[in-house]
Amino acid sequence: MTLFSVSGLTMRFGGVTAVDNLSLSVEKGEIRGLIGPNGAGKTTIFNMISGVYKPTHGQIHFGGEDIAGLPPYRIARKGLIRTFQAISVFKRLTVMDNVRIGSHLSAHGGFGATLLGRGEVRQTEKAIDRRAEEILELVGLTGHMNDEASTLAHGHQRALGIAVALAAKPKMLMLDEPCAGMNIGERVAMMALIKKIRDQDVTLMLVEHDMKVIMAICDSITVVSFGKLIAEGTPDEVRENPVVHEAYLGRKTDAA
Amino acid sequence: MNEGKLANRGSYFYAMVAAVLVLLAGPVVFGFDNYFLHICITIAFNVMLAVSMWLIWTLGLVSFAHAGFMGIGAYTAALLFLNFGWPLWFTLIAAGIVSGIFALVLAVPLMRTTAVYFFMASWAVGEVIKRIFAHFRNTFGGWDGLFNIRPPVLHLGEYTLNFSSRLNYYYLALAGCLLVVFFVNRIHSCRIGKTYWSIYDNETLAQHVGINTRGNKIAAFAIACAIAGMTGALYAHYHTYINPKSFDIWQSEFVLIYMIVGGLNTIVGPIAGAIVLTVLDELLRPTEYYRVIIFGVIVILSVLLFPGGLEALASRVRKAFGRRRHETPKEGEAK
Repeated sequence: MTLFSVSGLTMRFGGVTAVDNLSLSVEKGEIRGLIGPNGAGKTTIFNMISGVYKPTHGQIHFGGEDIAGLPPYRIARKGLIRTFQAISVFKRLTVMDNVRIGSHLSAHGGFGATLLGRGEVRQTEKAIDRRAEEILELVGLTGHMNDEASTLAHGHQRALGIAVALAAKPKMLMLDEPCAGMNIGERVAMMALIKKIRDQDVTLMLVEHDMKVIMAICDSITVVSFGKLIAEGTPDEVRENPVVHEAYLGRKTDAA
Repeated sequence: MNEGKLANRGSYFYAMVAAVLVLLAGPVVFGFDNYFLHICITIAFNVMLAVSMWLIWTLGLVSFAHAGFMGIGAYTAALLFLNFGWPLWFTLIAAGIVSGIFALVLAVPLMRTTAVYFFMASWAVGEVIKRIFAHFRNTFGGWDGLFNIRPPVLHLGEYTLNFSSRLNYYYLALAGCLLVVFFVNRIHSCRIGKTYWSIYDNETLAQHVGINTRGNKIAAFAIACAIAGMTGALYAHYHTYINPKSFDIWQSEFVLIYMIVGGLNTIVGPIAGAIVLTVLDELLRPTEYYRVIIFGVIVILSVLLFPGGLEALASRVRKAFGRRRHETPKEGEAK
């Protein structure tokens, strides 16, 4: 079942075409890798999907609805959540509060009811706390629950970023370079975490530069270069694809 | 740890009750004269302004239009009283509604701007509000302002409560002030407040977990301005005379200074700042035109000497003592 698809997606910044007529679709439950050389347009694609940019052309379908051009918070409310390349957490809040804010969408009750702390509001807030604890356990931050986010180590802050995204109950989670700047141990932990997230019925799409990570965990891979889709397939197919090699390493010049 | 938290919450509660009792009984027990009561009432108004402005700050914004919205409230109350004879009880509500609605409408374009552009835009809004009051002489009385906005008289059966008495007005202002502090503190401490801080902290991330950041900003701004408007109504009926100058940028800046000197992280900050600086302002009254300069120096000094503001003073003192006596760092750290 196709959960997510884009067709004819194009983004132009003035005269520069950052993403050109891109089409791809993601099946429910898969881990999709999105790779490409620097400047290929991967982050632009993420930004369009998550609503930071409004695409110049094209549709983005998620769960049967066209979401292209909606503001980020509306897209998030549909269950399409992203993380950011740089560490992105609420630095001044505690780890627990970070995850609580991530659970914002699960918290029902209007302004007045929340202010008064009515019974049902308290109930949902308790449920949120329980879920937050589960998520923190999943990402391995149980011991840091009451620490201020800015005091965490790099790897932990990344994990927290994902925890915040998970708290928003994503149907599909888009990770922008989850392993950037990590050492080997942290990378292995992150890969295990990504698989655990998939096991919770979350579809994943990730941009990553570390080919070992991509090859090890992705079910299928989409390769873009200069804003165009150049290859798609299983890790093995992509690894063998000469077009991909060319995009990363350049063409052999016979003329020389 | 949980126990410590509870005990601490208990002691906060008792401290609050004690403070309220002192505020209630103080004027009677110590027999404050009218001048002293006047300062207390001014403090109450300033606390209301500072606390409501702080509510906007929890979303990462500083509004220079705050006094302007207080002015909208004050003029609303004045006009309703002078033209229709509405007493304060109704003008107070009307003032809150009118400035809240103005704030709501103005916030739609204002919240398209961020950071320094928001300061500038809100500055312009504040200035325009003042100029409008000054320009339309027939309606708003121009620079001369409006006169004879009398405080209300409450008939409770045989007993009559006349608020032209300073003491009675003090209790009225105190009640308003406590309600505002309680209300804003409640917002701050429940989930809504956490949402505001998350927007302050990382607006992009907040959007991407589904928070309507712009909607929240507009709502908070409107609430804060409604509070400012109600403060304006209390101000108008107290002073019985208002003019545009009472609501210009300077007034907004003073409120901002209360916040900076007091501290920005908890509601204690703006309260402490408003109290200390209002008193200081009174003490500096003999210096007349140097007042503003001295104020500026005090702000600079307070930023240099007390980073984190007055609110951080207690924990700093505690830390200093904790370091000297090695045994109790844990207690000091528990929130």
